[in-house]
Amino acid sequence: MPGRHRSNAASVFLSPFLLALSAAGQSPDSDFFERYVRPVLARSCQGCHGAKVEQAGLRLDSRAALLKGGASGPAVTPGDPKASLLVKAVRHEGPKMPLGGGKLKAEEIAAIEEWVKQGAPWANDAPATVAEKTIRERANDYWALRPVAKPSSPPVTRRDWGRTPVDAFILAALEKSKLSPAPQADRATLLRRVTFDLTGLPPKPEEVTAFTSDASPEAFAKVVDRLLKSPRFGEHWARHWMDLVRYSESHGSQGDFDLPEAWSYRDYLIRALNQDVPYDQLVREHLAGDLLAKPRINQTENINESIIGPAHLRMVEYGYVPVDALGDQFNVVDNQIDVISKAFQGLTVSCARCHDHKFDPITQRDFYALYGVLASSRPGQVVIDTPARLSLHHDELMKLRAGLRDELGRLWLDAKPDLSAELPDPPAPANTNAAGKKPEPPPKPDYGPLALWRELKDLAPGEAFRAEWNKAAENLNMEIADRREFNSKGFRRIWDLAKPTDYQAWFRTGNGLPAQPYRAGEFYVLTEGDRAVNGIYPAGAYPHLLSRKHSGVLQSPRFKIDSDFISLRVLGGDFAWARIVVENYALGNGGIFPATNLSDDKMRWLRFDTKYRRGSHAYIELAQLEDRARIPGGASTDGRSHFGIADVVFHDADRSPKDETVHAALLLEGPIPQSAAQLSDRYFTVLRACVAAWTAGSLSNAQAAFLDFFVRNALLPNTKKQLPGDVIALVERYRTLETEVPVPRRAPGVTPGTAFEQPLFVRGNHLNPGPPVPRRYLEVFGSRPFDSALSGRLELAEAIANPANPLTARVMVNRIWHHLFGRGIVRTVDNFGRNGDTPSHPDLLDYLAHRFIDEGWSIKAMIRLLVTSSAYQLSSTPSAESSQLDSANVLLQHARRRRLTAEAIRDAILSVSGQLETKPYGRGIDVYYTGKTDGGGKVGPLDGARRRSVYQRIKRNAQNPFLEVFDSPKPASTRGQRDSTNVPAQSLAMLNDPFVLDQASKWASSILADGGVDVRDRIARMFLRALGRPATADEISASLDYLARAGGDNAGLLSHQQAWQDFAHSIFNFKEFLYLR
Amino acid sequence: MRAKVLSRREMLLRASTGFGFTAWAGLAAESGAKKPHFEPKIKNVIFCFMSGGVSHVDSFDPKPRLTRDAGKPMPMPVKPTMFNDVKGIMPSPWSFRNHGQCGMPVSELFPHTGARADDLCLIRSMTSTANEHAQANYVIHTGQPFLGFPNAGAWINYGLGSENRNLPGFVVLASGGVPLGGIGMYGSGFLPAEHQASLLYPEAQESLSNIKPKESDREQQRRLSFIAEMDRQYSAHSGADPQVETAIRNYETAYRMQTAVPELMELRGETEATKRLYGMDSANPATAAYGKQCLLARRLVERGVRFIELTCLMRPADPGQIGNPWDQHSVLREGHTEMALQVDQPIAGLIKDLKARGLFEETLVIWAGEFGRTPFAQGTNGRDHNPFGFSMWLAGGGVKRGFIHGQTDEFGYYAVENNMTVYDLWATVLHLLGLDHERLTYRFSGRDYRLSDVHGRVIRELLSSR
Repeated sequence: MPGRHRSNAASVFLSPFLLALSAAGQSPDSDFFERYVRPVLARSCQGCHGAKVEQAGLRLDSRAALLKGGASGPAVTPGDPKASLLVKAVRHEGPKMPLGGGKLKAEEIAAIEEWVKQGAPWANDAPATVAEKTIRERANDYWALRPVAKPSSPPVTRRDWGRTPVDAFILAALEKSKLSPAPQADRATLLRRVTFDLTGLPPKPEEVTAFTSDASPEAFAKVVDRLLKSPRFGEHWARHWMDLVRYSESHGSQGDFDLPEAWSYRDYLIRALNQDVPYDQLVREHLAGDLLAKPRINQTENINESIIGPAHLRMVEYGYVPVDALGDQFNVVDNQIDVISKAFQGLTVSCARCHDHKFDPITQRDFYALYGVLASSRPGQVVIDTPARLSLHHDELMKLRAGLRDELGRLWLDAKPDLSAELPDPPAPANTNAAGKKPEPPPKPDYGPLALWRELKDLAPGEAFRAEWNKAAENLNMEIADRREFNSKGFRRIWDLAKPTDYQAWFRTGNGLPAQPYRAGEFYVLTEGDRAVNGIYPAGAYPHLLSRKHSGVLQSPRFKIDSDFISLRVLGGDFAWARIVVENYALGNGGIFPATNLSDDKMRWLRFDTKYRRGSHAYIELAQLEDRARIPGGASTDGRSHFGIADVVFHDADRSPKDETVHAALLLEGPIPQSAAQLSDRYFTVLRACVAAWTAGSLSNAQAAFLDFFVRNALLPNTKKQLPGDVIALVERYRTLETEVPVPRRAPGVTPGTAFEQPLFVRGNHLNPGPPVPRRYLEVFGSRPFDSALSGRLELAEAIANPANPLTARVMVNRIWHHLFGRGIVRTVDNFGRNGDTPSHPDLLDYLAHRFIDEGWSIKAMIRLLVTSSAYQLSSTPSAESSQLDSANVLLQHARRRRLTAEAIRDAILSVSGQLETKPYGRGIDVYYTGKTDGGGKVGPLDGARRRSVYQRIKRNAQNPFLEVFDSPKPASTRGQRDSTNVPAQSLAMLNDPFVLDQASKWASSILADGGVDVRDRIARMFLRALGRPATADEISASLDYLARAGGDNAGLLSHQQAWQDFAHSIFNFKEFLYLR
Repeated sequence: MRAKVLSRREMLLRASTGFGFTAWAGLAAESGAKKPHFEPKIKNVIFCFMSGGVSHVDSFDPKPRLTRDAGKPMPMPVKPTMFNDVKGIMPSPWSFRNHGQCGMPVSELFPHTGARADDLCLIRSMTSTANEHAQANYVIHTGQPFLGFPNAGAWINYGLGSENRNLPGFVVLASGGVPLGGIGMYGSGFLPAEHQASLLYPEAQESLSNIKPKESDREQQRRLSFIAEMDRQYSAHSGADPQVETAIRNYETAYRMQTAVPELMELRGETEATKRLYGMDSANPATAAYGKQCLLARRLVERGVRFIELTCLMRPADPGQIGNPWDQHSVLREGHTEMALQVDQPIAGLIKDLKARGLFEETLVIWAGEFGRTPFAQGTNGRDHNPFGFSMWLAGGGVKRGFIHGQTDEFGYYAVENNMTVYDLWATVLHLLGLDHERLTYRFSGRDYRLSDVHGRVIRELLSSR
């Protein structure tokens, strides 16, 4: 009531100025809007309902948008203020708007009402494409988004300086500032610099000697070639790359669960960099390596290399059993977008998760366009073997299996099983269910086909028999009818996996799942034990029929959970699992993320409670053990597991469907038996029919179940005792070959899923979804929606690995420059946006980017170009002018002093002590740590098995403390530029860490073992080894002094282990050891 | 220089100007205390983190309706829970009594803390955005639910610098387990690593990683002198570089730390009365160990360490819960009894001692878990996580005393008045330290980040007029 009052008052108030308007003879339509309405909308409404934010999917910045409306329908009905939501909202009759900003002034409300009454005219009613145009225009305003130019060398005055085209750019800038480049570094310094830069290790004494005594003009070029060819190159540069993709072997948070086989991605990087795979190819592989038409095959290892590229998409942090699964997915995808956009584009796209980017031309829609691309793929393991390796013995196993079927069929056709045999109780299903719930027990009473026999066999022939038979038959028929009746109500059969159309609508990966589902009658050959085959399966999908080592993942299309329960008719064992994957959460293994380890080789209904997740998006997954995104502790290690699935129903009652396959029903067909003898004949007739159908390939599910009963219970010949020698030989042959079938090698990856358009989350609130955004790349590059039934990763890869993309090459050459010169041409290597730095040498950056593309994106060629430049080879001593004019040394008057990275420090210690094990590749070495951590896992050896740091395992919650103190990055996001902190903890580590002491001791031992007769000579050798240069006379004498305190004469000192250990330990602590100049 | 071997004391004196580096002293700027934005109320923070989540309805937020409606279903929407095992309303097994002049009701679980009610600024409307331990632990420590963001202690050290160059400015006393999520939550995130926490292990052989020389002081001095001499030649040869000079000076600091840290940990100088005050004489080893942490916290405050966090020790009855000992999804009565026994007297003792020594006014004690617990039962005798409304308290300089802020609904499920976020908490703590949470920023990957992200406000209602 009070509202109406005010409104009336306002109308009264309004009239004079409306009159005034008319009196002035102005066109009331447009001017009224411009003067009284547009400012109100702009000030009070469009903040939440405009180009930047579309609260409730509603925009109030064009007439069309108002008419279209949002979640609650059109905002205005022209001419009818009472029916217009906008009017109701501002009058606080219904939704109270503006939200939280206080009610509009009475005259403002009145103006809106009046305007609607006028028909809501909008003077400049162009659709709101202004923002988009601006985005495109803004690209041209900003250097990093303009096409890469091909600058020519700038003119320089000095002619005697410079070896490569790079140098002119550097020299020109120096000359402009009246600076001249520092002299060339001495040879020892240069060799140490380039050896660390290219391989992360110090030069060996013989390398120092060779280089310092090689007077030829090609001496340095030869060194560079040697280093680029060294396998150590890839190890060092892979670590740089790992910083970009926040490499980690676990998922963090509570539990810190392992990312299975993560290390294979590290090895992939090392191989790729050593082989100098073109950068654009690597970018393609990182985004869509699993989808490339021509993957890169490693012929030596029989690996599809390309498919390993997307592994970094899995190196995300997950919440632990997150209640809010969508919120967790939001964080995961945000991190993926953050890493991809920073690593490959130097853009901070994830800043646009809540609103348009504040500085760069990146819209909030861009973020959700990419969200759709990434969330349309699913987290899973991928098989990296080539088909050739996977199909070992395939044909022969097929042949043997077919032969076995024929042999068994022949044997079984004439077999007359003992119907009165005592059968053991069926084993209770093992409780391997992660949710702690036992799979459902077999239905009781058990209508195994022999039940009927047991009931009737002792009856006299004739009337009594007939009567009992009729009763039993009636019971059975009633039971069948009951089950059908039960199943007909309240169950929605969503998928029948035995039907090709349903099966093919699912996503299959792995070499075990064929293009078509299986008909009834399949089996697998048992790989050990007394029995030959497991049993006879009904129709369905199975990955393990040839070998349980074969890989297989079967996933349903994405759906919205709209039932309280989902039941699957499944079988399986050995830690294969069935689960409902909610919002792509990879780690769910029970509880509020329904999942169960399968533990029964017979098809049964398995019921998942999905009430908790109603409304969430999900898919059903069945996977072999090693295809699982999370490998349980205590799982078998022989690589074998198996599953099968036939049906999926959705329902709301807490009961699964009943099994309609009642094998005993087969016995009811035909004339009524009059006696036990006739009944026994009936059994044999049915059985013969089943076997005949089996060999003919026309078995029904009921027949399969009937036959299965006899096979599993060895009532038909299936054991070594029952089978003739030639059949046993066949089985043995099969087993031998199956043993040789390799367990597929896996890597973390993503697999295809239902492609969908992600609704924009209004203001970054995932509980407030707006309109869906088509999948595409950034608007600023003019990207159109991807026309693909798949996620669009392939299109994304092409958009980024495109020579016309202005950022891809620039960002990468800048990263290379950063690693070699200690500072990028753009200092903020991960951010080429407006909030980043501008390039110190813009033309040089473009020259390099252009050349990079021209030379086929070769990383090694770029490195060679840069390190052979004069700029790289400068001495690190600044000139007085440079210290004064350019104290930050932006212009590169001299080389920059750099502390070694954490890994290089540790590796250098191992290398100098003679302990370094250069064996490449393989599983990460467990971290050595003493402090308490969450989910730290096993404690590894103090010396890290003497392997390079790149091979040390990286667990998010238990990082290597020695590396961490020297700024090894936390695997959270892209870190193209490491911190180089300077803290006392580093000194404490170098002074007291057991690893450093242990290595000093080992170095000393090896020195003592080498013998030698002269203390001075030994000192000199140690200097050369650790610092890559000869010791000076002063240094030798100071060292002698230090050593002499340990006591003893020359001879005594030579064998004084502790003295040499202390000396070695001291050398590790020299700043010269820890810094490059 | 061929240094003669000096006594440790002489060496320390010299080391304050370097191992003979007087000439370079000016090159490496002391990076001691920095100026705050405005006049601070406090200088130090002690965070008593109750890992696992204390039940507020059993400690500081009495709800008679839980008794009245025992066993009934909740009359309001129940949010999804971790274990999806929602049972009826569960009364508190403990009774509450009003304490102090202010009459603050505190449960009988916390008799000692209750006795300090007039010193407490109780917040009954705390909220978190995460419902599981690791994420909620990250949220309360860093504002974000995952690795990669700086801990509040790191922010404070970044903002204010260190008052004591011989001790780290951010210390975690790790007698107990690291909360779920791992030591990353004590990290400096994108801030330089010098701001991250140092873990001190009061119960371990080596209380700080690598703090213990593996050789005699005399040997180490000789080594340091030799290294220093070589470094001096290196510097002289290749031109002074500020980075290298700082690295050289760090060896002096490291050397001094080797004395300062053991001195800090050495409690022989403390009187028996003091130790008793902290419960260090308790027959319960967990109480004694927690008391030791509280006493060390006071000693760290005395030495100018900015931010100190304490860890709860595990319950011997449930060693699986090493990182989240308050997490009673079942046997709430037993678990909370044990945990309260562990922390109650030591924390009350800490407040008393800080007051007695005149440190209370410049120190803020924060008591909080990562979330509270549900007013309804999980299973038969436990409570699930509740981030929608829970209690925490502050005590010390700049905040009101004997004061209660905010409230939850009559079941203690949702905060309904003066709801407070983690961002508000840290914005307020920064304010007390003289820092404007909107001005304390760090540019990382294209954004100026804040501890309060884009949220948070100083909760002025909590501030005292003193």
